[in-house]
Amino acid sequence: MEGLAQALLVRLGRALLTVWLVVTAVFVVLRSTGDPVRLLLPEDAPIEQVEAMRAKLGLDRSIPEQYLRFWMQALSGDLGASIRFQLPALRLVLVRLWPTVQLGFTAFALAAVGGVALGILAALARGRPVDQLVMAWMTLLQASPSFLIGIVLIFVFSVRLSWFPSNGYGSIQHLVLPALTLAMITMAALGRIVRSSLLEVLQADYVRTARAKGLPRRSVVLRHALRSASLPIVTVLGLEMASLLTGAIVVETVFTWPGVGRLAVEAVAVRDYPVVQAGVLVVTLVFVTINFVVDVSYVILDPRVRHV
Amino acid sequence: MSEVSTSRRLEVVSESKAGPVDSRRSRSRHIRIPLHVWVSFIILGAFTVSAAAAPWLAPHDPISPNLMARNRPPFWMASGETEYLLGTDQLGYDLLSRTLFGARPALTIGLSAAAIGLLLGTLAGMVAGYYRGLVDHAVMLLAEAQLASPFLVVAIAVIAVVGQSIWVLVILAGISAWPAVARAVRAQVVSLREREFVMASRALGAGDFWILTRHVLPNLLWLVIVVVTIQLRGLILFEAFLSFLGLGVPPPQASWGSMIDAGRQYLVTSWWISAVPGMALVLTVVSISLIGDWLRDVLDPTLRQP
Repeated sequence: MEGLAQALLVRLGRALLTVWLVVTAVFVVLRSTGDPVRLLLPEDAPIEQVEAMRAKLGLDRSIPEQYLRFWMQALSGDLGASIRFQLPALRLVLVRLWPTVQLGFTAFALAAVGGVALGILAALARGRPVDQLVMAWMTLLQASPSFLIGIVLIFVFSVRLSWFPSNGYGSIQHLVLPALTLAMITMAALGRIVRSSLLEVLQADYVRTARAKGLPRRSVVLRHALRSASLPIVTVLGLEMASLLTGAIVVETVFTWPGVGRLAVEAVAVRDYPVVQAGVLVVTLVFVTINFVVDVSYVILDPRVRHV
Repeated sequence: MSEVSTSRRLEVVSESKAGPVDSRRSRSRHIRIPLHVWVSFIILGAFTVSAAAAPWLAPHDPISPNLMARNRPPFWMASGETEYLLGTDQLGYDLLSRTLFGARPALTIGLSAAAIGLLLGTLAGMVAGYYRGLVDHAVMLLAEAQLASPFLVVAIAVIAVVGQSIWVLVILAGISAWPAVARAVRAQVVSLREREFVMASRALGAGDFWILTRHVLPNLLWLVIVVVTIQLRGLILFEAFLSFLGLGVPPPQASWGSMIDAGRQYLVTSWWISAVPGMALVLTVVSISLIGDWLRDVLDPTLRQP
């Protein structure tokens, strides 16, 4: 039990360090490029407003003191107001979080099902044309940036076939193409891992025994092999869960999906700096939390990783 | 970016010990280059040439549009003409010329960033793996922390403040690459420092610097080549991603990412505006992937040890 507690503490420390690094990076970048007030206020802001802002931010104080204040504000949820919308930046970001989560989870489910299916298909047909076809397909998918996959899907299913809308938000139909786009790369990564770990397991003695007993190949693969090949599969799924979040940023832009990613990218374009900052902090927090939860469940499930 | 790097991270680990197919291939003495790797080298070579010789190869000026020739299709289509082999975009830019010039940011940013990541990562990995102890813990904790952060989002925030430029892209991409390099290098150095030739050198009175530069560094060469090739794919995509979002290579300079973005609104009428640079990007990245995977199978020192 002591090992477990220690392993959990190490991972918590790592998660906190990550958050600290990102917040500090944001602070350093913000302060090292001159007057942050110029970024926080519109360019034509009157002098009084600039002065008031400067006093409010405490820019006349020492750097360590500013750093502490920056933290206090971040912790209390005060990330400034959006220049464009005149609303608290944090609230704007949180409103947009739900569509992103929706997109991310749908894509995750699609990728998990599709990846495992493709991997099993390739492993069973090992060396044969079907395997080569699936592998080539997955190599191509992994090398394609998600925005390009999205454009191809829009072209085929929206422009040519008109099955699904190419942009917008609200119904299941709107969700199909963005979720599929986001799922593709994860699906390919997962498919490769499923294939290679299945092939490895299929060499094992107990699999041969099961085959020798006369069990049909299908049931050997699905019942025996897949179960023991599941650890690397779960690991990849865990890693990908967090990275789907960053992938969503690009996909949201392609499909004009009203998520955090698109909000942040639009905010950069109009120099709405408080919103960018809030977006980065929220995304980092969610990202690190997912990684942490995956890590912890992994530690609990598999005692072997505890001493890492 | 991160969707690339995280999945990649694991793949390197689990695929290297994957099937018996991989290990058998790596044990053979005569390294035979498979057909798909030859093709990849040729494609990559062609893009390198087009990046280097773009001004001489390109039939038109990539940054001065011909407003009289907008949305022209490629030559094989009904109204296409050989004047604009791969067609023109909505502003009358020649797509062939811009795609040739677009190889420049893709390759130069990718390679410079890889060099930065290589330098930082090798240095950090060597120091961590050789001295172990507290330095090791600190360096690895930093690397893990960065891998666990949404780097693309942080990059977007940095660009929001600093403004977009090629230098910012190179530095950000370079920083994104260091943790993977450091991890691989560290693991290799940890095992190298216990080897006889290092012990012998130390027994003869060699200092740390001598051992690191004369004995450790040369043994890292192949490992580093493999890791960097695999990283390069992600770095080229990083540039394309940010340029697509309008945060990368500043206009009017040609970049595949921003060209693909420009064609998005014209998919119904002029699909080739996105398709031409898209093909270039996919061909480049697929080629690098295939070469990287092949190099890993052939050269990975962890596979070659008996």
